[in-house]
Amino acid sequence: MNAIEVRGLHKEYRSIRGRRTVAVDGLDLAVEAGGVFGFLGPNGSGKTTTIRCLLGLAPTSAGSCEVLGAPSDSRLASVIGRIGALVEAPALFPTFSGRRNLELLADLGRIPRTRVDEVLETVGLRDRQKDLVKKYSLGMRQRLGIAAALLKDPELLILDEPANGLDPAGIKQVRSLLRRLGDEGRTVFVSSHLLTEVQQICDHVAILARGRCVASGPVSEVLRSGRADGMVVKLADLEAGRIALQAEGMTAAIRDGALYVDVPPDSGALVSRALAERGLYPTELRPDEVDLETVFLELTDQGEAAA
Amino acid sequence: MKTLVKVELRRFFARRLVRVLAGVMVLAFLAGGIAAFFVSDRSPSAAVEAEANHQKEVAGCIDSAGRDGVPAANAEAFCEQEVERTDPRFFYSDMPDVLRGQAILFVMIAWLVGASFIGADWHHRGITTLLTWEPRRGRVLTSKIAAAAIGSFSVALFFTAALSIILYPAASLHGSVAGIDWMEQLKVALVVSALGAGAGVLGASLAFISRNTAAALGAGFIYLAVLEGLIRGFKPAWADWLVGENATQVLTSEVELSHPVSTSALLLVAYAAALVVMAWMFFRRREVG
Repeated sequence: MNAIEVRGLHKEYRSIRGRRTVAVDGLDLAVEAGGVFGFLGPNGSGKTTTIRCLLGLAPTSAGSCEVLGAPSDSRLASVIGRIGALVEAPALFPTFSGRRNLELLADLGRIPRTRVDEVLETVGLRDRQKDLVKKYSLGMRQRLGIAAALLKDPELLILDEPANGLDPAGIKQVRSLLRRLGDEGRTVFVSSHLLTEVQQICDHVAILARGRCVASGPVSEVLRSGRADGMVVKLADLEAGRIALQAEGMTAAIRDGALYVDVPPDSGALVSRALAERGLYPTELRPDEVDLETVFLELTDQGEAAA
Repeated sequence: MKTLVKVELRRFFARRLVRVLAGVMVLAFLAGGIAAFFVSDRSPSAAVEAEANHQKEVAGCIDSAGRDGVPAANAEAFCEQEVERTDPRFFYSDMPDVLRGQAILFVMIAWLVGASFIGADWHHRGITTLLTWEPRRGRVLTSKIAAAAIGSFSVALFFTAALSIILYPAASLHGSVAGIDWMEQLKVALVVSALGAGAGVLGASLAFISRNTAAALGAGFIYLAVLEGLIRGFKPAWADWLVGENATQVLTSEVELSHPVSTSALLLVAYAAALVVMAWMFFRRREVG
């Protein structure tokens, strides 16, 4: 059984004047149980709206959502005890202490107070637990939000931009935590725009653009769907190198102080021999790896906009 | 459901607004108690002085016979009846009237705490968090309204109890505690608290609809101070159905409208229930962010 299943999800908003804004447009998504699933997309692509629909916070215009086998409406109550969630910024009461905020939630789920201590320890807020939330920094509030999501010791964790406002140490801590939870067999569904983080911790990803899923699958597969593979060569005389490679029937282009050669990534020997025959010796020769950021920008047309 | 209500009540009583208001009110009651203690005087000399003052006022009234509304004939009897006798003692038996007099303040505070209880929830998105723990919206709304009702009732009851306790020494040491009707006092305290509970529910329901404390308070003010005032002025026949009139009738237990006190109480309950149903209609399908 999939932990999350979204079929033909359509969500649109209508203004008073009748103008339609489509936030999610026929989204299909299946998240297998276990592991970390990255949910990516530029601002306004429909990530948070999808998460709201999943948690029953927003009614869908069409389509269906199921979480742990339960439809995302009042029937979600049968599985909600197994779901921990953080939607957008943490929703906490600023005039209560961090601990009191968590205790109120713990009482709601009949969770023992010892669990409050545990999650405070996990997110590194034990020393500041008695401070009012309004005195917390953005990063501390985020940690408290994650602590609240962890309170239920959930089987499925849905986190919307959990690294928002965190410092590098906090990001690293959250990354390790999510990976550990995924390795324990829990399902972690995390939306993020920190692509390097996602690439490091996620097993599967889905990329959203304009309310549609433009790519999904294991991270390695999605990376392969990016632009064509090739090799990057650095040498003293780039123009001479380009002519030498073209003479051997290879397509090469000079870009960003390097020579990009359109050959399979395992053609290092071929490239170096062609250059050496003309007395050219590369200072760097490596496969042109595509990272998630590149794929993301290509798939979401952000690259074009940035250019 | 019981757990939900319990948690909501814990949040209600942990709120800074509720605690600050309780503190401020107790301080105000203490100031009133101290003032009553020093103003009230049961010494024989004070009684003699009060009687002398009364006689002086009656004499002044008789001197005005044929003028200032005092009839020329039987001026003496008229003045004896019309000039009020002042007693320097504070009578604790007047407490039910004191509580009735303070009721409007208590009810307004109950309205405020009920509205801000839900308004703050929307403002700080506590409702979002809560729905990720209890997705059944009917239960969420019911528990919050129940907590607003119980909380507002308790706040109003606390105020009536605090005022009653704080004023007692002034009466027992410098005034009079004769003729106290404890049952009447308890009844008034409960009626004031019940009206507080109703105000809390109305405030909370309006805040559920508007998702904002200020809007809920504003709507309440506009309705009670403006709309009901206009109705009283332009459609006096409808006044019997107004919240203000019916609340007053319930508070005083004196029939001044075309229907009995029990009907007034039922009407107030029906109005509160109608607003809760309206809040449910809004909340049922509303997107929570």
